[in-house]
Amino acid sequence: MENNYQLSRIHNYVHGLMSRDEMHALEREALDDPFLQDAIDGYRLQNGVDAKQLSLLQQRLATRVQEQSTSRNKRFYSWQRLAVGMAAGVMFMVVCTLLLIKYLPQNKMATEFTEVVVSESTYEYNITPNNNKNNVLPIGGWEILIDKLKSNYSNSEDFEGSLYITFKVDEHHKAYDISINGKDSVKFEELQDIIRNKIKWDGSEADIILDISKIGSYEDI
Amino acid sequence: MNEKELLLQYKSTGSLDVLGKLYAPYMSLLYGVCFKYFQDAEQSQDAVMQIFEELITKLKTHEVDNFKSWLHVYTKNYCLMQLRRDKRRPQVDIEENLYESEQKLSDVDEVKWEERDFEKLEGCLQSLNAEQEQCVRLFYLEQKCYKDIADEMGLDLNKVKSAIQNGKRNLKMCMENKKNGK
Repeated sequence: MENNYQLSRIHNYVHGLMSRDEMHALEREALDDPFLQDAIDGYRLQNGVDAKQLSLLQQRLATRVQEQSTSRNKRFYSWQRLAVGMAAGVMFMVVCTLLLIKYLPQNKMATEFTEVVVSESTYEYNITPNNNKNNVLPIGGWEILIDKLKSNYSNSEDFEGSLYITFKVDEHHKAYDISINGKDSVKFEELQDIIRNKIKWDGSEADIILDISKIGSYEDI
Repeated sequence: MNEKELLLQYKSTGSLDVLGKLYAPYMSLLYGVCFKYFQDAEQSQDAVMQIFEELITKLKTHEVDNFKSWLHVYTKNYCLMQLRRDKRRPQVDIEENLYESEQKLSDVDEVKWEERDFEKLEGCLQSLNAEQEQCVRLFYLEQKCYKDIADEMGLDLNKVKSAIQNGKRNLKMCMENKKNGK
């Protein structure tokens, strides 16, 4: 408000609307206040005070002050975004590292596991021919079948117990009409494949019991 | 809230709202100062806004004791720099600037004058040149305004102004010399 008062004084002064005493007072004030003196000089050059101009200037300032909150928010958001981005990046790297740590040893374990299966069977096999009905014998003896089972049969069904196997043998020493009973709804296709394709048989009708038992867990090996 | 508190508050918060409160009262004076240098309304308005922009960073770091005179000096410097950048040689009255810089200095130590010092005043007044002496007498002793003095002495208004400014300065120097020399 003091400011408006000064402004109207400057206005009156420049336009010669003041009394001599008032003029002298303002001049004296200006002598001690170079800021005021400069402003008076300026307004004198402009031939007076343009109030409209000045209120526009005040408006510009108000707009500028208001801008800060928006620009501040913008800056805040971009800062926030940056932080979120960085957090996401860090998280991603952590997850990657964890996956890597988890995957690498597993991979190692998997190969070890394969070796174990190949070199030493996890299961023990015992074959008991049903002497009343069975008249077949693998060419090379029952050991051949056990060897084949040990090296080729993974027992993906993880079966333990007794399997009742019957089949017929054709003139090419090949098994056909294979039926394996032991566990409901399990076909033992792998086992069938071994009997059909990996072994040649002597005889015509088979009726055998295959006992499968676990030797121990992988960790023990 | 006074200026000092506003300055401190701005420094700690950086809120333009606070800076605006500090700056707004001076805008019309600043506009006048800028117009004195640029003599162009638009350029002066832009300058007032630009100075505000510069204060946003300057006031965060600078220790400002007297905001009003600091702002005045800052504005003058801004205008002069601007004029130099525009390659338009600024026409600055060296006498006037000298006067103003001394004005600032003398603000600092208020001298106490005693009764007998006033006897010396007459001697000092006579040591001024005729024009300055006459103007100072008319202004300070007879309390006449610039316009009356200009009419009476047949001088230009600006001439009267600078004669009084310079006369005042010389008088002060003369008085201080006599006081210190006693």
